[in-house]
Amino acid sequence: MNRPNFVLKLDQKAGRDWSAAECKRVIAWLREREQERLVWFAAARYLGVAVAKEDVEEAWVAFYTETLEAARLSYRPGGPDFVTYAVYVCFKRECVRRGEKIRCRCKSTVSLHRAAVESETSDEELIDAGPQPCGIVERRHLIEEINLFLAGSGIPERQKRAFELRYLAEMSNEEAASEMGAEIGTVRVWAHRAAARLKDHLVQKGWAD
Amino acid sequence: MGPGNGLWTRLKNDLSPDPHLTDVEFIEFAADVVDAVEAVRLRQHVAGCSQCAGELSSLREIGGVWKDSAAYLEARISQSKPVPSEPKQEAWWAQALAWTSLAPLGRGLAAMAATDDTAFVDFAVENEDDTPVDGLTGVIQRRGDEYYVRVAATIEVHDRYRGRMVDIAAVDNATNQLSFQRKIGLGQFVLIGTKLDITSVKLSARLIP
Repeated sequence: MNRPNFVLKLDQKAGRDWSAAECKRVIAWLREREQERLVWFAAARYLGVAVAKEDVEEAWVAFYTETLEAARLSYRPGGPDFVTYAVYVCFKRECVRRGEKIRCRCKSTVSLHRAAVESETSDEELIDAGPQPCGIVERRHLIEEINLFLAGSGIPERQKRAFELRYLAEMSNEEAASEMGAEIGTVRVWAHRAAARLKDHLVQKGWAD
Repeated sequence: MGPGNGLWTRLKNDLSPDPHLTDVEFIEFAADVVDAVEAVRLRQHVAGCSQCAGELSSLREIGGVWKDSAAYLEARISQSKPVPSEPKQEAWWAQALAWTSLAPLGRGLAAMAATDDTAFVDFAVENEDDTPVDGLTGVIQRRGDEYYVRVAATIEVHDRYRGRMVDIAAVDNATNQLSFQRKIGLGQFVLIGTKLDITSVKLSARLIP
């Protein structure tokens, strides 16, 4: 996505240090139709599947009235640019929180049988799809194996950290970059290098073909 | 038998020559804001991947709803409170009573900065009324020249505070100027910076209601 020059320049200083005119300018740009569409799609994606139009609408309005300002106040230069930080880090967190509440609200109204009919699976299949004890134990063993490898493999610290954030903390590249205060592309490369070495190791250990 | 969980699937997908679309790619592709070269690659992947095609189709479905109601949403934003350019009320940390000095982390900093030595300082987490939160403790850790912060809950209160966030503020002892402020979830080590000048910094933490 292309950013205008004045937005790129703002990325060089903390959001708290922006002047009132700079704030107004970046907000005005984000209120242009193309960016509004982007925020709408981000809300739809991050809220999760099967949310109502009203939920997306509410999150979308919240972006312009609350999240944007919160993102500005917490923005620090060095990591992702401001728009990426606001939309793909702060707004994502906000939507995930909202999505969780929406699912909790709906849970009591959706029966197992109804869910099975909607997804065309039997009740038994639906129960089988839930987390099973053997799966949990297997996952724990995998994470132990990964931790052992990370501790003893001699992978550089930054690659290790990028991997932990991306795969163990389940963050996106944008969130990991924000946590590490580094460029998104750099974090992606760090995580990829660690992941490639780990994959070879896991295949060698017989975890997968 | 493979690990059979999301971690392994993500690892394999990220390392594959034609990975599935990321959240950011889904959003920008659906909103038509990706550049032409990137769009060709994404289009090619979607054409041969029923999973991504399905997800993109449901995202575009909800995008169509936005086009129809843009004027209504515009009105809703106008009715909402305007985005403030400066925080309206005084920050909570300006009135905080409990502060923890970070000076112990700075001992022999010059000598240790280039090593992997670590140092810890514990701190308390408080409620809005300045009373300590039972079962929540924070730790700030220096690893070489990187500083991490983590807030953990005891087993007894873990479920009670699941999903809650803690606001951490560090201010300069002498000037009372904010050095850094972060909102973090429970349990994760979060990088707050590198080579910080922490010898004259104190820290306070508050559970977000």
